[in-house]
Amino acid sequence: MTIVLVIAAAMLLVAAALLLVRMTLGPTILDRSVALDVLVAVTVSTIGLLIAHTRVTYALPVLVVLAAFGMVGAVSVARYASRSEDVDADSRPDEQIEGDLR
Amino acid sequence: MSPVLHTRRDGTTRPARHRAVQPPAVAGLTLVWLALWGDVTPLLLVGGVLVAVMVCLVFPLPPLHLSFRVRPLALVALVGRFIVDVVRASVEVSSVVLRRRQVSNAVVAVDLESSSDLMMTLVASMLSLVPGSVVVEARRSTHTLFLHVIDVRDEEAVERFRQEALALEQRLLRAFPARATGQEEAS
Amino acid sequence: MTWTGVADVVAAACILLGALLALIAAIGVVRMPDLLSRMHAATKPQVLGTVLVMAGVGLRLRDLSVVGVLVLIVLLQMATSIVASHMVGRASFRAGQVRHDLLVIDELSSEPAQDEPRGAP
Repeated sequence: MTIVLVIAAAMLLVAAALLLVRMTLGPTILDRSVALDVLVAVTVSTIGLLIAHTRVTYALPVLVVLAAFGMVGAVSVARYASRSEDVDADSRPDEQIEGDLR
Repeated sequence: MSPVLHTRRDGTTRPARHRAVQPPAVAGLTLVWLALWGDVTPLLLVGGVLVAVMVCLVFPLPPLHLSFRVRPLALVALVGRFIVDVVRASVEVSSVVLRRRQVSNAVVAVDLESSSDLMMTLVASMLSLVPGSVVVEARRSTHTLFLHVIDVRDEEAVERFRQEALALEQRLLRAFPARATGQEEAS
Repeated sequence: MTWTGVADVVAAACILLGALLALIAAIGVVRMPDLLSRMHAATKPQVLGTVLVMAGVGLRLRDLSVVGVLVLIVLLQMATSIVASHMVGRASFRAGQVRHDLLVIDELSSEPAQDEPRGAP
């Protein structure tokens, strides 16, 4: 088990290094945010390895938080990188919007 | 999202009042609470329901009219096929990544058959969970999804992908058939 | 071989596969020529990789209270990666950062101008 975990950790380490390369190179901010997203997934996997190795579960809430809020960075970057108007800019009459929500 | 307004008879408007506490949302949030504690005791259950009701009251959302039934067998088929799709697509994308050739992609428009927003959301979610396709744009007025698909060489492959996406929608419709009475609400 | 031994082996295989997927995804993120192709590579560890590693952790710990949290993690990761990938993909396409020379067919740009306001859901 330990050997497998070491190999997996090495692969994750290489993956994280490659993602850092992309984050540094990334021509646009969206490339960087995609790389950051994958880095969060790699972090989740790495903490999973730690839990599988030590069999201590105190780090599980960290995984929950990372999985739930890893998106915030990408979403906010995407929101400001696109040249779209505000989502609130819905010019239709209110009744129509209300009908859509039903 | 702008607040939903009701128009009174004299022309003035007031914010719509939803029933904030919806049983499905409370049940789901209670399940999340129990999963976080990793235990089921009466005290946790009561606490979870209280917290869920609090969350629903503090962050109210417009109600979701779930006007469909669930067919368990078709749902199992849907999930099973989805897992197979995810695994196969992961292997395919891995091979695309590792080989030395220029990738050629396509943006494919998929006109969905169902006119329900919920179905459109479900199809879009499942398609973007499968590696190899990303929803670039979704047009609600015509129920069209625009997907960016990796490793597409010609017109034929585009057509094949479109058929697969429509087959996924058909499986979803089989798993969640619309209730006869709730048809107008869903559309 | 006992039951726990089998579970450990399966867990090891799952974790190894998950890590391999993450590595291939990272290679893809570095190698792919444009943003949307990179996002395809990025979807893999976020979905299948997380599922595999969490399955490995669950098989290794063999504790029912942990399984609930693990399922929650997988579901949250899936739900949020959908939102993030759609937002990023849409933003990149609208900002015109797509390499059109890599596209065989582009049915979105050939569409007539859309009537909906751009911010509409």
